[in-house]
Amino acid sequence: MLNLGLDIFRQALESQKVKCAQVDLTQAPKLEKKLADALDRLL
Amino acid sequence: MSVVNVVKRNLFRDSIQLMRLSEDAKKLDGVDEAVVSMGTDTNRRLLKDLGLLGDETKGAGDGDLIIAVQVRKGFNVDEVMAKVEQLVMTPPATSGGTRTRTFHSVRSALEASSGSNLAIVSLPGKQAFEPSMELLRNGVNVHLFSDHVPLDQELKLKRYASSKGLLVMGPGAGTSIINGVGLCFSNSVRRGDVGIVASAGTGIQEVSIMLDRIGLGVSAALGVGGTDVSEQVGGLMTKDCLRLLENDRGTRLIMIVAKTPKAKVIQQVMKQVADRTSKPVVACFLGLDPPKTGGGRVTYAKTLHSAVHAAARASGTEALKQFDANISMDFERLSKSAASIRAQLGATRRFARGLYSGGTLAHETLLIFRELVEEAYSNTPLSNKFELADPNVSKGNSVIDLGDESFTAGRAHPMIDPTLRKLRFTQEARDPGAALLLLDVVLGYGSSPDPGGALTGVIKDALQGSGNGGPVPAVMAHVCGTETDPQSLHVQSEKLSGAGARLYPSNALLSAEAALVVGGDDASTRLRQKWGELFG
Repeated sequence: MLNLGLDIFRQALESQKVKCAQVDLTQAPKLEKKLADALDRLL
Repeated sequence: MSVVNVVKRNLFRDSIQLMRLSEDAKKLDGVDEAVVSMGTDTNRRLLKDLGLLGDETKGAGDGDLIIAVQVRKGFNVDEVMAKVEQLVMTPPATSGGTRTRTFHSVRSALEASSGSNLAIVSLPGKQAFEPSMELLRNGVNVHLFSDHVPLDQELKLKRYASSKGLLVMGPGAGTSIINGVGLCFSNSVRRGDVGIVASAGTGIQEVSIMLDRIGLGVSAALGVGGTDVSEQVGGLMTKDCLRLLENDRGTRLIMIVAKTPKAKVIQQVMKQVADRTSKPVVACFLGLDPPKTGGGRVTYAKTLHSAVHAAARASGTEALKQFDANISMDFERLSKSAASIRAQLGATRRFARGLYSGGTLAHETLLIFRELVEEAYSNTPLSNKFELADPNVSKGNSVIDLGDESFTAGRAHPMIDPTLRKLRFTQEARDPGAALLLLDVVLGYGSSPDPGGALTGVIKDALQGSGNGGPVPAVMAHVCGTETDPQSLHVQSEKLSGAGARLYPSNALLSAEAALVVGGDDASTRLRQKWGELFG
């Protein structure tokens, strides 16, 4: 599953043994999409 | 002691992060009290109530972050504030484990998580559309928790999803249970063969925990968000979810729960039930007289309690037996209990004050008061005449939905952060007119780790009164939860009853008893007449 936003919901999913990718878009307005993708590839 | 406010312009932290920052700041040396919050009206009022509002915040707006600290005597103010600011300015990290990868775009998250077909979106409403549409374009169903998504965007998302055979659950969807996994605010309930589609978040929670208590389980509970049953959206996702539940081999019985639906939409939904379903259906449209469609397979219920009673009836004698043993109370028992409460109240304590964290539960209480006493005042009233001029000040019988936008802008929901409810509880307890303080305590994933424990202090204080032996208000609570919830039903119940709260197995029973206490003989006559429709 994917979780976009409140981290508490990711924690709730993981406590139920559900694999979850967290997406943090709080910096998205400041980051160009391509830059965000590039950042994720680097990390 | 010095109170210091610092404003950080255009700095955003989400409501959970703010709550945690406040908790962490309080633990720093030299800090007596600390609140880190966005500069909304609600938060500024909270700061004022706590004696933490300074002149520095004048001009701070919703998009600005306020750090308010009471520095302990003998500590250097500048040094303490430097530590607090450092804490607040540290970029938030994903907490609760090191294995979780955080991505910065939907695309990269999808590339790394191939096979994901469901996403929760809880971004601010104005930012939710584009990422949600991107998810749908990639074949991912969306549970949209965010509020304040513009209606035209909701329609675009839902029409696109519907055309692709996908779901958009929300906006404003607080609860879903899919393949046994609870999303957002949801309870740990047993799996079974009852499918639920609901435009009422705590409606799903209340129904699913009662099903659990009578040995029934949930195949899927799909929250579609309150605006799905508006005329503009026309029940688009309610109808798609009905189709899914009808085709699901694991679903034997379908329950539909809606809060303040539009009659025209419900007619369309029930036409679909009549024409395109074959399974038994229990429909609970809170606040709406049932339409005359559906056929013999359909049972209409006026409360969440009676909806579960109908589900038990449709499930055989064992479920009914369990319902009687674990949920039912009869009229005589309720009346006797109400009389004993009334006998302990003085002549001036005449009114009920409901302080709810669940919107659907607050709504159910408002409906029961309208049936048995008269309409109660509220920030979310059944009719405009009963809207509180100031949601922070109760009047007569009042039922407050503390999860409503007017209280949650820029701060965590009361199911997560009990601060506002505790303050309001104390305010109500001090009102000499308050006879009853009504509480819902909602357990489950996403909720506070100890919601009952957080309230015990203010409950004990209220029941102690001013210490002169005068009458005090009674505290009535319903715990919406199960034994397997992270907070545990019995642990939370023991904390609340240990503090002196009276507990009820359903919110409807709590509300009816409250109505009996404040409504007297007239309410009793009405309840006797309406017992069957309210409680099955």
